[in-house]
Amino acid sequence: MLQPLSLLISLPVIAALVIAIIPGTKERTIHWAATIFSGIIFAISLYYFQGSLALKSQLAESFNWLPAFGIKYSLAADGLSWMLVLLTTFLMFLSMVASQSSIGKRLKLYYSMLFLIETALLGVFLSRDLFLFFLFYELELIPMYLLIAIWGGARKEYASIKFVLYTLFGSAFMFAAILGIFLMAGQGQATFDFGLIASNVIPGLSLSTQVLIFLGFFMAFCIKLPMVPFHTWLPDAHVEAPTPVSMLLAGILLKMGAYGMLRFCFAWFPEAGSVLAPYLVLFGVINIIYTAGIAMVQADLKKLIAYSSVSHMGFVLVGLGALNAYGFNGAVFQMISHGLISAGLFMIVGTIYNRTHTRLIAEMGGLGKVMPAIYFFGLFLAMASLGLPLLAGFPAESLVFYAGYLSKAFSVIPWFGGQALPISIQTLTVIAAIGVVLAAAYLLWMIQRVFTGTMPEKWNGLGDIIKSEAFVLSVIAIFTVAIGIFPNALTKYFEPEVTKMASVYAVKKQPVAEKKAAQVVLPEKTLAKNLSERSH
Amino acid sequence: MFSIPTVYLIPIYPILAFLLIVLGLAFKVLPKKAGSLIVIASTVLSLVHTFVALGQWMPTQKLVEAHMPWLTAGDLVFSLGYMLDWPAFVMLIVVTTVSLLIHIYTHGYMEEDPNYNRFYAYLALFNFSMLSLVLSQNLFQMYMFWEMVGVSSYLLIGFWFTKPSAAAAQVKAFLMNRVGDFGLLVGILALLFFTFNYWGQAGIPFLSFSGMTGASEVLLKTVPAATLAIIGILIFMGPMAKSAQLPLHTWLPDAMEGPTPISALIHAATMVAAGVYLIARVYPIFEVSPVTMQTVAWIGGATAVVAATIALTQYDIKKALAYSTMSQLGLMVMAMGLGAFTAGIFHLVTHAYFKAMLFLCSGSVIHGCHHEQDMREMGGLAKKMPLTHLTYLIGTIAITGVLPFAGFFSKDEIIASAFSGNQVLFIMSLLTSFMTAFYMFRTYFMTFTGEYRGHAHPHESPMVMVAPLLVLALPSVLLGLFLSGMFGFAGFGDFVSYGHHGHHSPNYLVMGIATAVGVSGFILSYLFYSPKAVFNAQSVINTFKPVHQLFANKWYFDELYGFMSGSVYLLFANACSWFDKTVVDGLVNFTAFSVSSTGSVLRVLQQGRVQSYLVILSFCTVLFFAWLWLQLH
Repeated sequence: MLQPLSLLISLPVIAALVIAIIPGTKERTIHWAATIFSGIIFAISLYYFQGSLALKSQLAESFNWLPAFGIKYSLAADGLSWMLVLLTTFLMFLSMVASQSSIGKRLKLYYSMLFLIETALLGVFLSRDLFLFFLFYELELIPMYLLIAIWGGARKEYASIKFVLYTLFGSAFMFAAILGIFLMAGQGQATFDFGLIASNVIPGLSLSTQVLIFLGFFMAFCIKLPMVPFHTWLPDAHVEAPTPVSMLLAGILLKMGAYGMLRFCFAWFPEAGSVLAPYLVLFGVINIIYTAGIAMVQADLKKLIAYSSVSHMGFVLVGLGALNAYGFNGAVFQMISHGLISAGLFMIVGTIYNRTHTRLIAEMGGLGKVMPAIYFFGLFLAMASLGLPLLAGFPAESLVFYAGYLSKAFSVIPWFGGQALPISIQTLTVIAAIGVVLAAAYLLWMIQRVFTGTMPEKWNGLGDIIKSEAFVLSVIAIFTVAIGIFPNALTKYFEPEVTKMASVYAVKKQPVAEKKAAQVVLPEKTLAKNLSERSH
Repeated sequence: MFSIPTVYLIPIYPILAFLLIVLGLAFKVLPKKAGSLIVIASTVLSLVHTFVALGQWMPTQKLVEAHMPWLTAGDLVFSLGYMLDWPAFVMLIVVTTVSLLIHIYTHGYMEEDPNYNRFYAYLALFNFSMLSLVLSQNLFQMYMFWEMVGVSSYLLIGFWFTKPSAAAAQVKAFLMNRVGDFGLLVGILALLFFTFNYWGQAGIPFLSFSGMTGASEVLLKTVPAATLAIIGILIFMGPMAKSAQLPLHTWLPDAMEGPTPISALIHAATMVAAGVYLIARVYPIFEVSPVTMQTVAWIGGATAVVAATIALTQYDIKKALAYSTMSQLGLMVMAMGLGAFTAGIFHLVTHAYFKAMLFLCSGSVIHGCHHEQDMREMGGLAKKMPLTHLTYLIGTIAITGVLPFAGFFSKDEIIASAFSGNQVLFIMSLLTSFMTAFYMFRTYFMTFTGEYRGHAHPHESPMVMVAPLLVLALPSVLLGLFLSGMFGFAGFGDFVSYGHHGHHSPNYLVMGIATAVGVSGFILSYLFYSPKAVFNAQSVINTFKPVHQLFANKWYFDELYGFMSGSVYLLFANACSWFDKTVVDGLVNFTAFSVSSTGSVLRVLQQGRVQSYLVILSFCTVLFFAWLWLQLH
């Protein structure tokens, strides 16, 4: 019998095999089988999550796979992993439902590919061995390539090749970084195990080596995130990908980048992180502002949403670069809320496209008249995306802003030749906050041009939402509201661990004597005091 | 059920009503006119709860506070809660009473609308947001509901979203408020940055209003005056947008695109006054910086004058009232800036009632004239709509500030505070009073007196609309007198005051001047616009053409902002887009092209296919290790 996490990872493969033996002519059966399987997988992941909570266990499992190289097959699920695992199984289920109304050809292959991606994603978030992680990370590539290349739009070849090459380009750096860690380990210490790497290998590395390996990982993840200037594959991929694939792409695939940055770069290399933080925050802010500018003038609705998605991932970078517990938690929160909201927005784009068969904003207008329910959901998700309080985006963005402003990460940005740019993280945070104004501008102008105003005659008679679409959008809406109103109901699952990850940045700057003295005071006071001391 | 520990339910009733209607609409099970019943019931609950809680609170009158953690990350804990003191109760009473009357009125006004239930749903959402804002325990929480009232306003302005002008107005309102909120957010961040320790030591949630005085003392001790001023002014950017103060005011007149009940409830009585309320809540932070206080006072004063000048030239009855609202808000803000805390809030309260009434009257007129808003198409409506006429006249006298109507007492206190505070602002406030009397009577004469000039068949509105007007007339007449503190009752200053500023004895000189100014405004208006006019308005307009142009074109703010968003912002956006397409993506495609060219060369060399995967992978790996090796040796 498989252990829980192994079972979870292999279930989608089993589902793919079952789908493969259904006769290709029974299209309804295939649709429903896929939906039901993905629903079951979601339910099982929830069940194991509950079990993991009840037992206070990470459900870890491990066996020596290739002992000669110290490679283990090792899985475990902490709070951070669980959040992303649940996001994966949840959004996978929703995109299967969304596929019912938007995919019409080669269903068996299509669903098999989706399930394969699910396995890869679960593997990525659950691996506790670097080699295994890399395998799963690469495994996602081929099905995604096929999904875009077969079910894509007009320029699908270009978009799918660009996606693959770009990812591989980044993976090469990560591979080098992984080899670096492997080779740099002391005699007989060679390992790919997360825990051992963090405790044994990394402390022995020099700062410059740390920075190099950090950057090797970072290169792969910043392409995935994506970070300007490595982002141009994403809008192309989105525009060509069918709706459910876009939902997955924005909803989960990008989170592999964010997850990797937190899990490897920032958690493992605090010294390198401190050195590089100024630039990462700078790039994060560029991400937010620059792509918001681009989103503003897009003629294609899906491209607008794609750029908006890139812009919002910038908050993850800023949060991580703040190097404190608030920022790390904000980044994780943003991963989850961005996952929900951007998937929902791509669903909206898909529902509109299914009716109008165009994505050009200029051709739309006043659609709220014939599709009031889609207008409602579109407006709702736009509001969530621009960070309206009581919806999921707000806690994430708030945490990131407060993190940035209260951060002591840097007060100048070191520049070439010993120079320093007089830009503090506070300044950058304020600039990032302009992003909320810009997001409101492009999203509401989008709503204005798509749904309100006078409607062109030709759209008379278009139908409103259908049941499967309404199901997907309402489920997303319910979760968006629930997280927005009760953020602590979500943060309690990952906050302790993520806060601990950030503690490596806080502890080392505190004088030991102060720490001891502070321990007798109330916790709140201690932390507030420490913060003030770090500021002086 | 109705008690102080459960006051958090006050905003919960309307949100439940909202959910009920939304679900009913989604599943298409809601009867056609059920929305009004649900929402009015919820408002009654909020109202009763408010008064019961007030009754329980009255004997002690001690500040009541409760909170719970809402968002936790490490040692950063944001809390939600409620705080009860006199300003909160005053606002609760204003919001619940005005909104109840408007919800009743709406039934008549929106009866024919196919989206009647949706309208009531939005009204309930607004009530939820506004009541939560009023009850907020800390600044972070207030910021949340501050945005929520903004979105309710957005939804209601664009209620008739197929109208392009309404669709544009709703976006404009939201964006301009977002600009203000950006300042507010940064101000809050800076405030927390400098006072982070204080909240923990005081043992209260971050940014609690009850700790603002303490926080301001910390600021005063640790932060230079310039920083203090910047924090205050940044926070003030929020109220600047929400209360339509210069230069973030242009959304308010456009917001009149929304149905009239909304203009009365949100854009006259409650939401726009939230700016003044926020200032009251963070008053200690403002007070420690004279620069901030000066800025607030001058912006308020300037807004009062500028808005009044624009109101002089408007022909749209709702636009004229909108500029009047802006002008009155300017007076309130100016009062806050001058340290006249009590006067500012007092005027907020009286204004909420008589301005809501004036707007509802205009709605009644518009309803009666079959959706005509241009006053040149009205006239002589006094005979056709006697009750609307009566209430409008009361409202006009109230806002003009004639004894003993409500506006007299509150406005007088503001003018008196300007008199003792700053001579220029005193003259500006007198000028505003004068213009207010002039343009308000102008709208009155143009609408209700003389001969009917339009082409519809005006009729009095149904009782469901007129009754709320009559009820609102009561506070418009009596509230000022009742709370003036001059006639035996407790004065407003005994309830709502800040620090040692209580109610001060009436200044009869200022009262005399203010009344004289108001009356002369009325006389001038009479001479120009009444049926017995002796002057011709048009000839005066022609004589002062450039000035009139400036006023009629709203001092060209819209043109300026149109230019800024149209050229500066779009230029930035287009530049980004161009750069992205040509430079960033160009480089990517160029790299891909060179790699694939290399690949073709290699393919020729090896007579077979080379996986680009391997090429890139091995190439980069080798390169990286070469570099690593160099680093290590």
